Amino acid sequence: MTETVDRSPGPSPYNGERPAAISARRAGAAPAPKLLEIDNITQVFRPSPKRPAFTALKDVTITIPGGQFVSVVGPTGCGKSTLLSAVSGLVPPHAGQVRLGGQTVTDVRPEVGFIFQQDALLPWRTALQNVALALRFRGTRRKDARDRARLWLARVGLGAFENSYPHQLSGGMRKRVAIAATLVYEPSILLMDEPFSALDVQTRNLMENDLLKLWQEIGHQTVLFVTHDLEEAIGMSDRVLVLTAGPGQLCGDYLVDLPRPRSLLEVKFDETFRELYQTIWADLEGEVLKASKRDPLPTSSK
Amino acid sequence: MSGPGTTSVEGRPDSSQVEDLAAGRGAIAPDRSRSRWRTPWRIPRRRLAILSGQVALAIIVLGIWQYVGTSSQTEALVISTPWHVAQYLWDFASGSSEQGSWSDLRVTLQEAAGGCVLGVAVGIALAVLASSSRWLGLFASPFVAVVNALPKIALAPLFILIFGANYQSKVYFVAAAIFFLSFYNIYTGIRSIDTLYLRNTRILGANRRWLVREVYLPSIVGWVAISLRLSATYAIVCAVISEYLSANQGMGYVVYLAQGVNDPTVVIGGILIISFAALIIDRVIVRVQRHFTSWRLR
Repeated sequence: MTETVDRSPGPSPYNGERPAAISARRAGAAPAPKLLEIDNITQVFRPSPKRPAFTALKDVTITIPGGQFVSVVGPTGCGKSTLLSAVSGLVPPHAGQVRLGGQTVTDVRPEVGFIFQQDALLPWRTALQNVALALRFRGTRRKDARDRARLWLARVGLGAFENSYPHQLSGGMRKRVAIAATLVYEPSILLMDEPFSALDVQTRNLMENDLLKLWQEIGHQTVLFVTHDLEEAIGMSDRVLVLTAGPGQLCGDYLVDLPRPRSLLEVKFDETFRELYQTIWADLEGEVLKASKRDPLPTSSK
Repeated sequence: MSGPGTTSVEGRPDSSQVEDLAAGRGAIAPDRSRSRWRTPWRIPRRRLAILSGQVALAIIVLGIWQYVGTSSQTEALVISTPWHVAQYLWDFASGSSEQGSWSDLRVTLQEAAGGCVLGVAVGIALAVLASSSRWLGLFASPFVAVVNALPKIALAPLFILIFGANYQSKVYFVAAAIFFLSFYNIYTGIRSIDTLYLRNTRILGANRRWLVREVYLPSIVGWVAISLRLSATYAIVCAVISEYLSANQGMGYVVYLAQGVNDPTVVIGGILIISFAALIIDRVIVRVQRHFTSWRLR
């Protein structure tokens, strides 16, 4: 147990309310979206005393208004995952601050949701138990948590697989359970670390559509979506940020002007999409080549 | 459309079919050209062949044993015969044998079980303690490595010296042997818990108490269940060996006595009884293990 978790119980976001009361409260007035400020953060890692420290992120400053879907793209090793860890509070930055709704993030906050790249479902718990976990941690009674989890599993289309263990589900299904498990406690900011990169292309497109639909339904929260797939980034988000090769610095910030609702299977044929893709790729390509230390590819005539 | 194997509308084979039949191609009756003999019961043929071979081998081995055992007095003194061993097993089972009874088996299994439980409990406790702090783990690791390398069974006389030649000394000896086995397994098990699960559970809002309950405990239970099978067989072996050395009851004592009076029947019979018991316990544990680790792929 090298990670020491020092969490005083803290005020539960539910304050002991029953789920029915919470839904009623939320239906009346959704909580005000919080502003996410990433203020000049630098993240340095020192894997062992013998090896030199390396800087994963350098002087990154981003301001994200509440309710915006932001994608972060960049070459491998540019610090995208490190950025998410810093924002979530799992690994606070070496220098600089992350503020959520004005408050500095120093440790894991209950209103943050994180969907990891690898499969993080507990393998010794069924799908239903996995989804109900977050609610149990926050003090909901077992029966109420189970009912709510059942609802969410049905919502992601896995109502028939409540009692299956993760090893009995396919990769796409496990991802959907992970999404349900995160959204069940209605986080006000959603962090996603290349969630669909392990899936095949068709499943990926369908999952992206499903995610956007869910996102619209549950209230349009702030999303920070890390991916290496530029098409996915532009197709899903309102804003695309480009990070340089390590040490990661912000080198591009583009607004995506496509109308919603979008279908990822069709949006890539849109004219605006293609222009945006070319513009951002021009930035990204240099960084990708730099990261892989290769010479520029010969360009075909434009 | 007519072709091989079909009949025309009237129900009589037409000229093309007659030609085919004459040439040996196709048939109106089903094709039995390949031998597909099925046994009256549901065992497929190949399996039956293997089974017959296995039974035949067993019979041959037993036959050789019986022959050698009855061929001369000296041989009978050394290896006995299957018939005598069977008689002894029957006497043992019905409780009428003077050398060995169910209570002996019970004592041996009790020593094994008691030592196993004690060893696993202490193993879990110390493994949790050692993995809770990195420095503690580093501090303890050379000592653990040295003691792990010692052949535990060689320590049996030491336990008899310290605790005396009684029931407790055997339980403690078994516990000590099992402790090292389970401590190491569980310690590595705890340290190998994927940090991904820890991070994810933290994000979902777990405090330390929940973390232990939801991530560490199921992991430990899983590892214990898996190492239980090995621990059980090892415990029985240790119990029997410590009884060989000094005891006044138990299956190991029975075998030791018989060896002292050159009675191969009871030696072989006693070993067989211990083996059967170990086999049954192993099967039971496999069932239990499957229940507790149903979430693993194996």
